[in-house]
Amino acid sequence: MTEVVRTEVKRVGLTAIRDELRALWSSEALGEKPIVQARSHNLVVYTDASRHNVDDLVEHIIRVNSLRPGRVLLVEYDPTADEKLDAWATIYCQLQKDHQVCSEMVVMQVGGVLRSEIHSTVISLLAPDLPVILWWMQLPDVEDHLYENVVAEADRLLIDSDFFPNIAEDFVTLASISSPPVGDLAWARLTPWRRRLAAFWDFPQLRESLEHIHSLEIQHAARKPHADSNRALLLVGWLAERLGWRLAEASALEAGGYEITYRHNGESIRVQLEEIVPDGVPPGELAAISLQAGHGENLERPHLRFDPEHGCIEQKIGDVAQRDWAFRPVEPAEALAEELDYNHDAAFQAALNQAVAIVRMAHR
Amino acid sequence: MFTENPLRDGLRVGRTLDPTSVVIFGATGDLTARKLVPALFSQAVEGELPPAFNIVGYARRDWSQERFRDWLYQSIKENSRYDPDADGRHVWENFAQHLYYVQGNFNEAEGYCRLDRFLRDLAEEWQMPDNRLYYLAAPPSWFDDIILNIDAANMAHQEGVWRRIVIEKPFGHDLDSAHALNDTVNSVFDEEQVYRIDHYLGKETVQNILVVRFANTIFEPIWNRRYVDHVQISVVEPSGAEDREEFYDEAGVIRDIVQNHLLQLLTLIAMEPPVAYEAGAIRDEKVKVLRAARPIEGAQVAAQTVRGQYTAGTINGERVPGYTELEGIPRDSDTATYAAIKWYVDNWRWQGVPFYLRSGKRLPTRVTEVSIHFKEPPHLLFGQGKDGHLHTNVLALRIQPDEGISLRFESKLPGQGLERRAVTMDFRYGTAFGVVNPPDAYERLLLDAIAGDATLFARRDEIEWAWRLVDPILAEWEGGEHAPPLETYEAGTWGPAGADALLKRDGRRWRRL
Repeated sequence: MTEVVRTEVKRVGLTAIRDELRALWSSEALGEKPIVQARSHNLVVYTDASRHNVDDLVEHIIRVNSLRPGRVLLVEYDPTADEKLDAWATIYCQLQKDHQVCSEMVVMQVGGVLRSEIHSTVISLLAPDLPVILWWMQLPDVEDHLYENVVAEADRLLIDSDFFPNIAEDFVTLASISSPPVGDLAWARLTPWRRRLAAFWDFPQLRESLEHIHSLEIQHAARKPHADSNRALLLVGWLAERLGWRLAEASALEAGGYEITYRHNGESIRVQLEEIVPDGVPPGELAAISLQAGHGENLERPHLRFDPEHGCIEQKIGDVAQRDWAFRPVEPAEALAEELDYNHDAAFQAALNQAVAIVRMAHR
Repeated sequence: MFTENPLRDGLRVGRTLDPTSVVIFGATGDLTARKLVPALFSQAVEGELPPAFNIVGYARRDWSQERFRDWLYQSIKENSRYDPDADGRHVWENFAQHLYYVQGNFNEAEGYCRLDRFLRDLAEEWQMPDNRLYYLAAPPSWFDDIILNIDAANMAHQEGVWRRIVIEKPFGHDLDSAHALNDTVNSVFDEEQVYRIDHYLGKETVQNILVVRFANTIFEPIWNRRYVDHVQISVVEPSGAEDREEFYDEAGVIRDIVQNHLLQLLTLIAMEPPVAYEAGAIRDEKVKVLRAARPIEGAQVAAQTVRGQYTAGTINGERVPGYTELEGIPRDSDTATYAAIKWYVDNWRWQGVPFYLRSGKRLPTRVTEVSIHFKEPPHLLFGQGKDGHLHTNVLALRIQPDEGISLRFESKLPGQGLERRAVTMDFRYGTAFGVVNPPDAYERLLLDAIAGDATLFARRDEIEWAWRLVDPILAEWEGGEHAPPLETYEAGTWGPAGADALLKRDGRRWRRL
């Protein structure tokens, strides 16, 4: 692992950010090792300081920059402050054997009415000719002046539905955003589960059973009833879309969770989303997926279970253990880095649309 | 009924691999311990192996299953990207359940019958199709025996399942022996079943050569004799012939490096754009380069090749013995440990552009690099530089270490005058993509073979054309009348003086690595 160093964090006037960035690049604090400036995109991050821990966020971004270097512009809104506008510029370097790879971050703290003016500064600081990825850390309000102006420059919008307070309404709003292409960090957290689930049907002899799934049960950790179901819903949406299921019924259970019925080839598919108390499993993370598929003697019961103690996902068919996959919940920096690699993800969009159909029917 | 797995479509990573048993012949050897099983374990931790997967070792030693597993555990611990006690602990327990050992001699048919029965039972036990990837990790002298016994036990036959074979280099020691080996292989396996592995092609940056060339528009228009002055390809290393003296003294630098790694790099640099990124199309274009390479024969061998052998010297501050001082090397050995060769590729694109290839042991550092040296501007508007040199543009593709690409160009020095200096624009593969623990080349290639993707493996005609090119050089070097003198060079230097003279005669010099 390479060592990461940073120059002094320098408080600068808004108009002087560019000059300060330039000065930092020639700063003695960067040491004598030759510098490689690395930048493959602009990452604009918007956060509300009352909702998110900005220190943690900065640490995640530094990690992301070591995985996917880019220019980072972080807008931190402080809803409690009046007329506040401060900016800091920093350069982060990974020390290599004979050189260092550096990229920069500008943090803008804004409060009061100045929030609606900051977009012009953000836009002026974008590195030219590189993709702009906007990470809006809450559900965007499409009529928000700042959002409206910044998203107009963005090639991709990232959100994290793990932070959505009301998944039923928020998914519907999210699905209505048609441009730019949207990515969800929660979707990236599902990638290992989707891979493991898909692997069951790499056996050609099991593939027929995919046409005859009778039941699907998903357990996920939830902090309280009716919370943290976003990933489980997306996973169901993904399966339904890939397998051509048609939604028949959906209801949100009073105690938490969902019961859903799909139809396919004249058969019913019963889907249950069950909330469990987080016990070693982070909120929102899946704990287990169980299916029943096939008929009679060919009834198959694939099962995946997250074992947090051993850091693995156990894969079974019926009671027969097949293999264990190394697994730990995807960290925010890894999820962000994965999303930075993609532009339009049709599979996510289709899964989101299916999830929206479920919550619409369940909460009508 | 889904013929393909619909859940794989749109999945961000991984590819669908069939359930497979990898059968390693020579499973108790160095290659299995250092490369093959550690590579497969890393892929197991990353979840890239097929849903049902076994490794079956076959070798002469009388080992138990437990001993084989214990030995592999230690090998993985020392050589894998993942520690079976840490990140991969739970994976190891699972992985170990799928490791098997069958004892048998390479030249006894009975052992193969037992192996075949064992594999069939294994497929039944795990309810998986009996797909097999045979890996020849045994000494080359056993290849014929193994292949013919596989045939005798009817183990190459594909019916509802697939059978493939991976063959490690060296693919023969000259054209005749390569031809004979290929005949044996193809008498048992169809060419589509055969995967000749040159691990260089599994390196990310070697594959990146094709991407740089054919996924960008700015390079291809100048990638020809109109703009390129010459090309240098270097594969150099500080290590000596220790631990493989007997093999090396038989092989020498030409068989060890030039016939395979260097010529593979040459073909990737010089080839025409393939019609598709698929095995057949790419290999067709590579073969065309080898066919177009001008043979170096007779007196040309003395003029266009340089051979050297290292003497004692100092590497990284440590004294190292000379080649003929090594135990197991005859004191009067005339095996070359260094080669520099000037080749021409006689086709429309490269006519008149020399390709300088060099490889040597006991050189100061370990570098594999291809550099494209462009011509001078047609009119020297700013004259020669202050130091009397005009630094022409150089595009360097660094294969290892510090994988990346750099472009050298002239820039004005700040100030009143018009002084210039050569500057370098650098792209580092690892840092740009945050690769801190890149997969070993074997990881990629083993999974390619399981997936049936032969793009990065050598085809029969590629191997044989490469031998056609080096055989005349070997004929002169090994007793011919036009052999260049065997020059000595001190370990820790950049090779014999003749190598510098080879380029100096053409008004060029080797790039400093």
